[in-house]
Amino acid sequence: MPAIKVNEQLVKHVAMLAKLNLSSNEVAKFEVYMKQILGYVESLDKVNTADVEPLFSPIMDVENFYMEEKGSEFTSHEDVVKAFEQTASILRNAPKREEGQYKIKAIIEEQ
Amino acid sequence: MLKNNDIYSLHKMLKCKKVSSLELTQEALKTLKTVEDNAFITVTEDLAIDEATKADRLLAENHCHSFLHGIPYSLKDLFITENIRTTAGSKYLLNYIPPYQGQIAHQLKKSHAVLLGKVGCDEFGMGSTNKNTPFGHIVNPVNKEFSTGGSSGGSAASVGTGACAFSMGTDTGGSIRLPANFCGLTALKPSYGRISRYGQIAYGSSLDQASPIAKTAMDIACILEEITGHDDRDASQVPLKPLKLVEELEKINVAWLKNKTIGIDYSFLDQCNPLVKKALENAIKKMKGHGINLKEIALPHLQYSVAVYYLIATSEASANLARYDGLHFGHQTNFDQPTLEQTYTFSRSEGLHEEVKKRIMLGTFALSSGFSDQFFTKAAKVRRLIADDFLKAFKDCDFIFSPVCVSTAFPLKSMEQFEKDSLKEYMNDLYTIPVNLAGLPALALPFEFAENSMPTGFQLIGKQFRDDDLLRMGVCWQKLS
Repeated sequence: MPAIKVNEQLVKHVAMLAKLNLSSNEVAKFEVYMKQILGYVESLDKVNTADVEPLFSPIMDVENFYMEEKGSEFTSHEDVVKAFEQTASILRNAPKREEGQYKIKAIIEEQ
Repeated sequence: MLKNNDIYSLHKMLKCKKVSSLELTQEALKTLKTVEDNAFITVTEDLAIDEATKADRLLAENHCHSFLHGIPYSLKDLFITENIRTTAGSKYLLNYIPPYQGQIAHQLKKSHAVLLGKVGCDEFGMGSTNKNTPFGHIVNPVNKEFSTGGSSGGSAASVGTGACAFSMGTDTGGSIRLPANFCGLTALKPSYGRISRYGQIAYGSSLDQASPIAKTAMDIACILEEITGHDDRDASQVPLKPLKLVEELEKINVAWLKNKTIGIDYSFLDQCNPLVKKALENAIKKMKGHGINLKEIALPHLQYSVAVYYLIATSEASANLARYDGLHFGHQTNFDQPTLEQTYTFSRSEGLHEEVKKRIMLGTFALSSGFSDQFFTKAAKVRRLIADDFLKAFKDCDFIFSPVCVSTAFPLKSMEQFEKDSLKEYMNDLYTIPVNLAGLPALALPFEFAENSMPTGFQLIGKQFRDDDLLRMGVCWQKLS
């Protein structure tokens, strides 16, 4: 991996993407931090990963284990969205609310 | 009573009415108020008294619902509790009252355990020192001049002082095992997918796992009976039946461990400080003395674990923490900002602490356009090689022996070194992180006290979903001690 040039401009750009507003002190601190960590992770360059599949979720051995325990083939279950009726208790935590809805800044200005 | 007895003995005493749940709960409340260790963020005193009274009433009618029935416990403040403030150790969620019950709180309530309150941690579980939180340091129950380690420091402190019999923490990169190791306790990081994460505030979703901490491996088995089992609200959970092991463990003979093989990568020992190295060598000697087979193994890619973890965990954190937008719940900036965009940025910037911001920044960068292949995907490929190292090693052994940390608990006065040098703090996770990257279970066991009078210990890593074998091993080992 080519070395990344971490500077004030990059830190501010990343902060903008992360929706963070950093003080000048934080920008300086985070520049040092990102330089250090990104410098350290360059060690991964030494590892040959040419034919390696990335591992995003670490459940590896489940098929065998499942068969052993349950005697049936493993199928992951679906993530099904269910209705949640208590909207009032959700809105209770909203910093600003009005007439049973979240109150936020206008996104589109009235003409 | 709580300081010197484990869950299993307390359960027996409760059943034969030698002690009541209310007595235990009152003792716990008294302890947590007097120890001044900063472990609790929220104490649920009235609820605890109600739950203990109810538990006693059921016991009087000879209805004992579980090994945890009537036993006081604490919950790391990353677990959602319906109508009980849940902060994640963050100023951002200072006044957040969840409208729903998380699965861990639900299952423990069903088991009639008694919730004493919510305990502190590094903000959102991000840290190994407990310094990364606006709620202040939590001190080590063995010696107040030392750290509990993090991030589940409040869980370890509350068990160590006897303010409760057990606690539920979480482990994303070692967050239950490090505090257990620093405070002389036993903790299990279960296999990824074993326990529901519904209602567990997310940090790194491919790594996070709810993790119990208590005094003994038998206690951990008592807790697992209640918190395992299928929950279709967590898509990453593997639908396995509850792990009911206590009855078997009551009868287990220590001869069980005689034909077991433990793999050791001896290079790990050389990287520990002399106090820890000596303890690990003593543990190995004791294992040999009891007829456990030891086999040298190599885990060559584990040296890259810290680099891999801090790219993957921060990337996942940057996505998970995007939900803190200042609009739906939690902190909202007081400034009357002219735009919605500024409401997001000011609310997040005011509500989140420095370490969390650092990790969001790093993760945002690692996932950003033009860099994600170079950083995030590359890390995920090396993660595969780390997991493959374990799979290969487990062909020759049943368990893997490893340090938990290169040192004993950090003195509080040494914390400044981590303030100045994040990498130094991150390197403390070198031996705990690989387990999370590979989704394996690991049991942190206390061993002897070091020359500095602080606890030492080690971890045993198991095959995926073989949490049961780890507990068999842990119970046999502790019977020998």
